[in-house]
Amino acid sequence: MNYSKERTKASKESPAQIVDTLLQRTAIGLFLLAISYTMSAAMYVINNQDIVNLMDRLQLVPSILVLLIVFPAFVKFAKLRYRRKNECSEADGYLVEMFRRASAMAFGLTFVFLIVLELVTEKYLTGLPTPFFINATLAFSLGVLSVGFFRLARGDGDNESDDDFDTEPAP
Amino acid sequence: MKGKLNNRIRVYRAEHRLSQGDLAERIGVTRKTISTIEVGRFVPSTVIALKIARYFGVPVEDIFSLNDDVDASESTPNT
Repeated sequence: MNYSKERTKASKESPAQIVDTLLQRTAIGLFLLAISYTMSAAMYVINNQDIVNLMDRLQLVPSILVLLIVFPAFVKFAKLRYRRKNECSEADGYLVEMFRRASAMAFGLTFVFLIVLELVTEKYLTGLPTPFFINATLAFSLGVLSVGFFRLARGDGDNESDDDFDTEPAP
Repeated sequence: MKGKLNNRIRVYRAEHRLSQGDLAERIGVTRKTISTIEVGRFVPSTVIALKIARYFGVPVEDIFSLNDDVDASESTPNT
């Protein structure tokens, strides 16, 4: 009886863990979306129709993966929010902070990217339609956000060893 | 700002015989949050700092402190 209770407790994710999982999966989803937008943008500059058709079909793959990866984590998060409306402590964790930093970095770099794109457009990319630039900007922004997040959140490994002290509390 | 905050979480964990995971569970964060605070890679929010202090039953200043050299230079009043 006690054993099954312990197992149930161990398998239950903490609210903070649910938030971290959602963030990680969101970052993966954003990376996949960045790939999808990159393919959309590339279709405007590739002349080979066969490759364009192939890319058009392949674009569905990242979208399905995003749904499969992010949606279950989002449902868990939504349930958590519904159950614990007044709790906000899980918003202070390490990964949340890293996501904020990555978002700020992505915003700044996207701004730079747009300025560079404007300069380049005047001389080189003159004949391309507006959707190309929208897709390129979205791909860059989402790509920087996701890669930046994983780069910032990457642990040093050696410094983060968990000291496994005896778990019995001191008297 | 970087590297100004010292912490004694590891010492208190050892006294209470708690792993990072145990402490994380008790204050409602992940183990990664605790480990990155311990190594000084992440400066915790006030809420987390207060929760850690409350859990160990000590003032927050006992766990978190500023580096002495920074304190000395910043505590000098402007005349």
